[in-house]
Amino acid sequence: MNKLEVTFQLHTVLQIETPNGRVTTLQYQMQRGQTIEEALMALGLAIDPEQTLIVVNRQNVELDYQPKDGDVIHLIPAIAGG
Amino acid sequence: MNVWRIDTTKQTFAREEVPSTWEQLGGRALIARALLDEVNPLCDPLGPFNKLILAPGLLVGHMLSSCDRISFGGKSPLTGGVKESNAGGTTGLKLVYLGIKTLLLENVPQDDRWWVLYLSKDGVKFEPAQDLVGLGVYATAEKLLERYGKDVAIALIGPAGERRQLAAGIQNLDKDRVPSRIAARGGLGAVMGSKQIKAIVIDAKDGVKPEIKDLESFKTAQKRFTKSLMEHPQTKIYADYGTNAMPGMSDGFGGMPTRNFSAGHFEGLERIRGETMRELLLQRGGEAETTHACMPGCTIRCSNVYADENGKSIVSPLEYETVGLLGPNLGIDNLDMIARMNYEINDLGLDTIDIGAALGVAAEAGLMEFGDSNRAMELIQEIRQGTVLGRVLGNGAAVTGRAFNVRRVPVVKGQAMSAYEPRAIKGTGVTYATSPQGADHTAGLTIRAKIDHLDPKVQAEVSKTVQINMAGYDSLGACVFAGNGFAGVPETIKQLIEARYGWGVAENFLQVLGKMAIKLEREFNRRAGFTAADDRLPEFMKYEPLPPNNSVFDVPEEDLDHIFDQL
Repeated sequence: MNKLEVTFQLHTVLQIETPNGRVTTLQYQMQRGQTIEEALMALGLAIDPEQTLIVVNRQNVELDYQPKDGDVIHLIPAIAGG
Repeated sequence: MNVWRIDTTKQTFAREEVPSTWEQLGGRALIARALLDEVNPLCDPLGPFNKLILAPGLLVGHMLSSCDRISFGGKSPLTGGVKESNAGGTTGLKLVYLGIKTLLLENVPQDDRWWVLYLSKDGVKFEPAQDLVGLGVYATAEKLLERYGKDVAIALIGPAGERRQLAAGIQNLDKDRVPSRIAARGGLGAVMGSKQIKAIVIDAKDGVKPEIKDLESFKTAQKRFTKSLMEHPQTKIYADYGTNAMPGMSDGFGGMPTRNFSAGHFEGLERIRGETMRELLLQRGGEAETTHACMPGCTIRCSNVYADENGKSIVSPLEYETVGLLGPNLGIDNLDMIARMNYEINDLGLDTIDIGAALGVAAEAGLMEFGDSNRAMELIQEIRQGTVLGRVLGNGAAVTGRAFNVRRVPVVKGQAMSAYEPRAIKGTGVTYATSPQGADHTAGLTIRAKIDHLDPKVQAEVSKTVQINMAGYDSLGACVFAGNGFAGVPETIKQLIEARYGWGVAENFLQVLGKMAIKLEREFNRRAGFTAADDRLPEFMKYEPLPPNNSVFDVPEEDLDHIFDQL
């Protein structure tokens, strides 16, 4: 299997407003070995890596992380405090 | 600027010169210094030897964005140690307009009559407040605004402070005169209650803006800071979602306190998160506001007005910590009910964090089912009625745990944790454990750091850095979120201080202030009898794995013991 299916979970300002409602998740089929950075480019999702946490399985990962099948990839604009 | 000293027994007032060692301190650092200089650390926090201290931060008075916060302090009846708790609103600004560097409330009256303290350029008057006794903060504020006019600032307590409940805070008017900005933590409302002061009214109509030694330099630095703040991405997030932008992030790390800190993921997350709240408020319209400033001149506007389905305001603001402690922590996923509970707790003059944590402990003790928001509201009404159960709950999570023999009680130094699970965000656990303030969400959060939050070895250094910075911001009167602006142009802190006061200060003045505050606070706690045993998380967190990470708090004890060795 060279293909795998991942979900991007979009947080706060990365969520996309559309006439049909708010898009909070994107399903994406990617090649094994492809990185998150490559997937984001293919999806046309621009993030500021300095200001965005990429969280998979409740752990921070970097843009060069290679997802596994079924991964949920949280893209979280970094904030702290309430 | 002067020290204003008020004796609540003799009802006397004195304006004094600022001692030279207090001059270059403000807010949290000044409170720590004043406590060490003037308050016996072994005193009864509700007795005659404790003092309630009000200290605006060093940058307060210029409507510099998000930098007009007021610090309240004293020996905490909740923790038994040092306490500083700060709030937005207009209190700090107006105190500075009256030339008040710090206000010290001393002694306790010998009878049970209640008073309003009226502060103006002519000094202080004690005015009878019997008609306000027992009133909630919203009704009290309304009456005081009728009596003293719309331009005053007010710091006031609710029924909980009158009863000296340990989770009572001190509320302050926001820029729209709603008494919603609470210096919530550590029971300082009870200290104010012990002095029989229902409210402090600050009338600054004849006051003056503080002098700026070098206006040109001040304006230049102000512009650079404001630009940096407005361009920071977090500013936009907080403007859109408020602090309730946090749930997705906390839950994403498995760190959302759920059902009395027994899990780190909440299945009802989608219904309570800020993205959902924003959509709801935009749909509801009317009085609902997704963005709102708590103090004049704030450009972040992270506050909000939460309205019901008819667009009528329920509470303002609804914040992340409240949502976390009254929501997932109680298994409740209904934002309307969370907002209604928030209003009631505010009106009583209580800390939503400690009360939310107390209700979680109460649920564990079988006093309510997790998820039953109607029962949670009934328990809050017990506090209002002053029943025996209500008096237990109103004293916060630690007392509730003792009363009902619950082992899982999320407190440090007697103060409840906020909505970051320390077994999932271990750096914040280090902050909870080692902050002289007790578990506190403003003392130094680490969730934003790009680290492995489960790795016990890297947490202490991260926590130490943010704790020092936060103590510095608390001494400047700067909101934690103003720190995002200063982080981009750190030199503006020195520039603003030097332009304002004409002093020469160190390049790293923020850290100088922060380190000094923590050092003085730790010394006060040491003299109050605190030891390393007080710098620990509750024991259950060491052996009870937290799902879904199934992690325990395992930061080495020596890291906790030595975190501030090199201050």
